[in-house]
Amino acid sequence: MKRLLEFLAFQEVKESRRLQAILACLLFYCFLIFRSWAFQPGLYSTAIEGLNFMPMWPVENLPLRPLMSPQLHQYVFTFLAYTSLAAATLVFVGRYLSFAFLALGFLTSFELLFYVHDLRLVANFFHVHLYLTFFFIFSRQKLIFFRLGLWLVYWLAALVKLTPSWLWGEYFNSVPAKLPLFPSSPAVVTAACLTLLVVEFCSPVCWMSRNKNLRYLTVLVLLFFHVYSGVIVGHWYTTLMTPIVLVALVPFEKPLFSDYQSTRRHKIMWGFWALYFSLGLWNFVIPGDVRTTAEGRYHGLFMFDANRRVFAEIEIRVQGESHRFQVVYDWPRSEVLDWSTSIHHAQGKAPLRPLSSVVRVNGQTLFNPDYFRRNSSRMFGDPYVFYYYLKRVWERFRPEQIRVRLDQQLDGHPYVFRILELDESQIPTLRYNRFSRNEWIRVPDESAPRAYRWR
Amino acid sequence: MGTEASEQNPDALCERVLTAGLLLGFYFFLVSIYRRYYLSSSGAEDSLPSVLLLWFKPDMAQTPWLLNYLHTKALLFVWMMICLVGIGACYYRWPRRPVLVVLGLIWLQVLLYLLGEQRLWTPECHTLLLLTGFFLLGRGSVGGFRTGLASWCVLAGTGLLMSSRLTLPWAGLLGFTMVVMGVLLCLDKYQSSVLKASSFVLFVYGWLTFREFLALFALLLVAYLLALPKAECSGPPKPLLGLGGFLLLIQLLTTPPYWLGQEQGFKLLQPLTVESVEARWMPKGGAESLVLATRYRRTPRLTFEGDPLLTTRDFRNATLSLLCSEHFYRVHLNKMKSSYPESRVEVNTRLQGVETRRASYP
Repeated sequence: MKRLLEFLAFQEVKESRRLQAILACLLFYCFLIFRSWAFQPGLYSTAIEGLNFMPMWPVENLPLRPLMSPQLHQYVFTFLAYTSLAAATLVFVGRYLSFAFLALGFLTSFELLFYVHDLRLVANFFHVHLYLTFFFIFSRQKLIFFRLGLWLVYWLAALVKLTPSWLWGEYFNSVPAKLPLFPSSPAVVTAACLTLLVVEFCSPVCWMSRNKNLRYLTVLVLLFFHVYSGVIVGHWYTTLMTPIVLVALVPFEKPLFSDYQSTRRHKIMWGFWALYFSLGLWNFVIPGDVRTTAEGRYHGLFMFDANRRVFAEIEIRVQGESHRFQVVYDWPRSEVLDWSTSIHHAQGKAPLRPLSSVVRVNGQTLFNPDYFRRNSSRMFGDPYVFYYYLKRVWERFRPEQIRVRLDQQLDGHPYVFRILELDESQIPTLRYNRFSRNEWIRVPDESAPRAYRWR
Repeated sequence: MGTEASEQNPDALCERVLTAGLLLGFYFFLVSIYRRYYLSSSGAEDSLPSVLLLWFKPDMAQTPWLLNYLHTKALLFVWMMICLVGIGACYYRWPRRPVLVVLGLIWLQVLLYLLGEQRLWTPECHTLLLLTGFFLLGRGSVGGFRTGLASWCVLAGTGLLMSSRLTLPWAGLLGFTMVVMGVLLCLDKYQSSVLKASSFVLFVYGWLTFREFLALFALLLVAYLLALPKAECSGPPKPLLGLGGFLLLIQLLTTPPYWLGQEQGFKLLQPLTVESVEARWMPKGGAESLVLATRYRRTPRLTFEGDPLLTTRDFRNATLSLLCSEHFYRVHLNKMKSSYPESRVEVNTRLQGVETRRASYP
């Protein structure tokens, strides 16, 4: 244990009140995570039979499956949540710091394990928590590398915004409420979007400046942004970033690298930094617009990249009985998160009716509305979601007919782009490539407006 | 850190931990209500004013300022951030008085929310308000918190003993234990061992029943114990003990025990007394819509039969305890008066399969 703590440079945490505060913040966030994941049906063992299981691509073909019954899962996750909070409390009162430090590593391993089990859990704030915790636990000169972790986060967040949705201000200009507390003029909204992009790219660079006022100015701007963004996108991102930015960057008396001494461990950490950054860049390597194809989207940060409306229709004929399902994610009614999902079903020639319960054939689940309803707005229209569902249905029923059509609209544009059109002749042989282009996912042709084919 | 010489007062660390813990509790409360549609600007017409507000002002239109205030979400968010800053202030040992003032303002803010919206009345929220109230009345002292804790234990324990949950095997024991713990907390002896026992009981109870606030509350106790100074800490102030007794008296006098067959009452800290509710809403003569709510872990599960269009948002967003309350149906029927003048509601509540109450409104 002593050697492990020595390897992880725990002594630095023990001696620095600031690092202890960072530790408490990260543990506190673990509490929020496990508390929220305790009631995720996609992680229960029943999710597989109920067609409500949607693993992330890294584990799609691994024999890694949820094992715990709903009850057990809830007990375990509630226990993990309170363990996190207890560890954060220990840091607060200054007792058993080594336990709290090791608990962070243990809890984050759990977080990662369950994170890859359900694509619907994926959110950039969880990505950020994992990045920052990694740098905090494994680095020496922890404060410098933690700040470098923040640098990575801001640059990755800025990279996502290099699309017409942000560069031309189309995203927020197409949301009815636009930017709360700001004038609703399109020019102001576009200017605000561009300003954020500049802030995220330039702030970390300014941390190397010898000008103390400049460093503090960036901190002030970032804090304003994090608090303000909470009004638009909710508390998750703000609760993670605001305390961490405050603790890690205030006071900021010396430039970022003033006390830096290069060691072998540092080179390894730099390697990881470069790796994470490259993964964030990966979606630019794959041809096509990540906003529609979602290929490589989750390798780095992904934020809210566009305003979208998605319309999907799935037709399945099993044992002579045909079923038609319609899944619609509509434009937000006022604010960014104020979207509506509607799911309809028709059997045979009957008209479509709203669907709220599972559709079964011979006692086996054919369609679970929860599978689509629990999607976060960041992953609406992701072809992988439909691919994984169709594959499972094919394996389970070998239907006589199975078809899917997936249409998308971006940023309030009237143009409807068909991104998926698949049938029973293609589905059995379908494969999802994680790092390269999937030919069965369409990209817009010449008839599409420029905003759809900017790459 | 906490044992550094700079903290002269032996209670100081403990007081900071308690302040931070209560701020954390308020933070969670605000987070939990942040996304509720009836607190957004577009959900103003779906608000359900509290019994207290309607008692003072039968017409909600007389309090537009309160409605506007409650439906300004940005404000709610600002308060959330203030809670986090307050926790940081406790950690970094900023002067205590401003932090206590902030805690008091947040307490008032939550009280306003409760006044304006009946759906926020939960035992968890009452617990938080009660503990913070006592803590603030004791000027942020360990003694004030301890009195609040004792009052909470006695109130929650008697609430449990008077509720129909008493028919469950563990409830009587838990209720009795809590009352005893409350009494012992008022004494100067055994304080530490009583707190250890109570925190353990509450944590297990909170964890097993997914009552988050209880578990959170238990952790607050753990923090309190960890920070408890070796030296004798301040005892319960007598005026606050009187206040605790007064609250108990109100609960006892206004909440009839379940064996008298009534569900109404002040219910300061009484747990939920039913497991399922069937509400049959008949908006226009023959057509009806059945709402069946079953307690399923954290939130009640609601199923709707009949025409879903007739089952308004009121029902879709009601909690199980709200579906048991007369106030909810009175406000709902009043709201529906213009479009469905013939509207009626019949309600059956059950515990362990046995019907506990049948009511009809109006």
